[in-house]
Amino acid sequence: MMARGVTMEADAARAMIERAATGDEVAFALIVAAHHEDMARVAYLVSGSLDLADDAVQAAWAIAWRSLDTLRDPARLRPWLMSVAANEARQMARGDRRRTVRELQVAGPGDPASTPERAALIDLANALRRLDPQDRALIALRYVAELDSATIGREMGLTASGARVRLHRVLARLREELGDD
Amino acid sequence: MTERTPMDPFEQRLARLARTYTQPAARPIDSLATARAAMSAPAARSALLERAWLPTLDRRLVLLLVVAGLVIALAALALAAGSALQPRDPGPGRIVFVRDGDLFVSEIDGTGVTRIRDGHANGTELGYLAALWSPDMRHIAAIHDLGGPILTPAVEILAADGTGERSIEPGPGGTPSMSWSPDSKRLAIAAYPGEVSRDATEPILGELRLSIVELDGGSQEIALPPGATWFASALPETWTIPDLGVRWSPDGKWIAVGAWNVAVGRWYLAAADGSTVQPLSELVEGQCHVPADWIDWFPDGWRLATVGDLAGNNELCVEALGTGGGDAAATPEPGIVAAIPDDPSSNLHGKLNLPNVAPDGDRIAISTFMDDFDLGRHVTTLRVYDLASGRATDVASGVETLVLTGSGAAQVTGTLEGNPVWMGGIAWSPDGRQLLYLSPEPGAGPKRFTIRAVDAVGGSPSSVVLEGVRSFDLGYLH
Repeated sequence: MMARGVTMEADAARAMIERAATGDEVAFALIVAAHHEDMARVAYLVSGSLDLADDAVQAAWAIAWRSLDTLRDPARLRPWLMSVAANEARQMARGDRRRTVRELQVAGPGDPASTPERAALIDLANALRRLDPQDRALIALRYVAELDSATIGREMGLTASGARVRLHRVLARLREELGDD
Repeated sequence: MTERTPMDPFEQRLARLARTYTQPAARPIDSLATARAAMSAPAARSALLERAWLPTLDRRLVLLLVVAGLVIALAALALAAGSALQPRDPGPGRIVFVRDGDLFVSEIDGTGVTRIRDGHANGTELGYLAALWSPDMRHIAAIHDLGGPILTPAVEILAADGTGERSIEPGPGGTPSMSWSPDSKRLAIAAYPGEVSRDATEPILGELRLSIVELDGGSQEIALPPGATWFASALPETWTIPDLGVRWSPDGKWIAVGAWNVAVGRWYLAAADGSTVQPLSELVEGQCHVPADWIDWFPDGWRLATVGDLAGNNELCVEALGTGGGDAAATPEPGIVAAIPDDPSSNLHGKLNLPNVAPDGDRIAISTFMDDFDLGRHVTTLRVYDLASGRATDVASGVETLVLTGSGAAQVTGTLEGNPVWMGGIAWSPDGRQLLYLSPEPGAGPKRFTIRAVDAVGGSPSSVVLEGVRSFDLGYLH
C-alpha cells in the first residue's frame, strides 16, 4: 500500500510539474504555494535583506519555470528550488556589497521571543553577516531547508564529502561565534 | 531528504534560531500572481545564467551555451511556428465535471482526466452534483449530496487540485446555486431550505436565502424580499445546472438572484455589500416586453442578456442598468434581440432558455426548443446570435421523440437524430471560437450527459469531449 501511495504521489507531482512546464498557470501557482515560503526563508538568510530575498525568490521562480521541463525526478523539485533561491540570493548579495547596514527585524512589543532569544538572533545575524554568501547558502540549505549534505552537494555542484567538509568548517566557525552551550 | 546524521544540540539550536530569524520572510503571497510574474519575466534575464545545476561551470562557457541555444531556438521557431515554442498564454481553460458522483478535472478537449474528489455516491446518495471554478482558477466550489431521505446539500470550497475543504451546510433543501465574485474572494450561495424528498417528482418552492461566504472565513446573509422563493425539485436534472439562479456581475458590484415570486419568475439585484436589494425590472431601462426568466451579464457589468416567456411569447433582450456607470455608446445597444411570438393556431410550442454571453460580449449563445405535437418531435438547438449583424446561427441541434402522457404532459423520450442540446451547461471557450454544451445520453437512472464541442460559427459537426457527465463548468483565467 505504501509503495503504491508513494508511486501515486510521485505520479501526481510529475503530472503537476509537466502541466506547469507547458504553461498551466494554476499548476505552477500550486507549486509556488507549496515552496515559496521556504525559498523566501532561504533567500533571506543568504541575503540578509527582505527586499533582496523577495527579488531573489521572484527571479528563482522565473528560472524554475523556464527549466521545469528539464526536471526528470519530481523528488528533486524541492531541493532544486531551494538551491535556485539560495543561488539567486547569493548573487544578489554579492552585487549588493555597497550595503553596510543589514536589516535585522527588531521585535515588537507583542513578540513572543524572549530577551535571551532576541540576543541570540542578533548574534546569529552578525555571525551570518561575516560569512561568505556561499557559506550562508550552505547554512540555509542545511538548517532552513533541511537538506542533507549529499543533496546540498549535488545541487551546489560539490561532491557529498566536499559539501560535508565545507559545512563542518562553517559550523565550527558559528560554534565559536555563537557559543556552543 | 533530511540528514541521516542526527543534529547535535548546537545544530538543533542553530536550526531553531534560523527558523525564527527567517520568520519575517515567511509572508503570505498571492501564489498565482507570483506564478504569472515568473512566467512573464523577460526571457533574456541574466539570471538564466545562474542556474543552480551549473554553478561550477565557467560563465563564459555558460554564456556561449546560452547564445547557441538562442540561435537554435530561433531556427526552431522559424521551422515550427505554432509549436510549443509559441508564447505561453493562460491556456484554453479547464473543465471541472461530475461523473458518477465524483469530481474530476480535465483539459478543455477532454484529455488529462483526473479524479480529484470521491463523492462517495451509492444507490441513493448522489455524491457531487455540480462544481464551479473560481475566476482565478485557484478554487472549486462544489455541491455535495450529504445523503439521507431528505435532500441535504452542502457547498464545499476546495483547492483547484481537490485538496482542502471548507463545507458550508445550508441544511435540507434544494440544490444551491453558486457564483464567485470576480476577485475570487467571495462566493455567493443562493439556497432554499425545505424538505425535498428524494422520490419527489413535483417542484417544491423554498424560501430563498442569499449568503456571501468569504474565502478566508466569515459569511454574510443578504435579506431578500418576502416571498422570494426558488424552484426545488428532486428530479436530478434540475439539480445539476451550476450557477443557475445567482450570478455575480463582472464588475463585482451586483449579485443577480433569480426567484419565483407568486409563481412568476423574477430577478433581483443585490448590491454586493448587501446595502440594497431591488427588482431587476426597476433598475433596467425596460426594453423588453416580458419579465426576465434567465439572465447573463455582459463583461462590462452594466448590460445583461435576458430571456423571458410570457404566455408563450419569448424574447431575448439586451438590457442596461439605468444606474449609470456604463458606456452609453457601447454596443449592442439595449433592445430586443429576438422574439418568438406565440402562434395559437399552430400546434408548435417553442422556448428560449438560458442565455450565455460570449467572452467579448459580441454574441449570445442560447439553447432553444420547439415542440411539434402533431409530429411528436422535440427539437433542441444551440443558437448563436451575433449582436452586430443580428444574424442567428444554429450551431448544433437534435431531435427527440415527444409523447403526451395520460395526464396530458409532454414527455421527451429517445433521440431520433442529431445531438440534442440540454437547456443548461453551455460554455464559451475563452477565445470565443467554440461552445461546449451538454447533450443528454439515453438510458434510465440519473441523468447523464455528453459534453460536446462545436464551432461557434456553425457549419461543422460537434465532437465528443467527455461522456457520462452529470454537470460541468469550464473555467479560465479572467
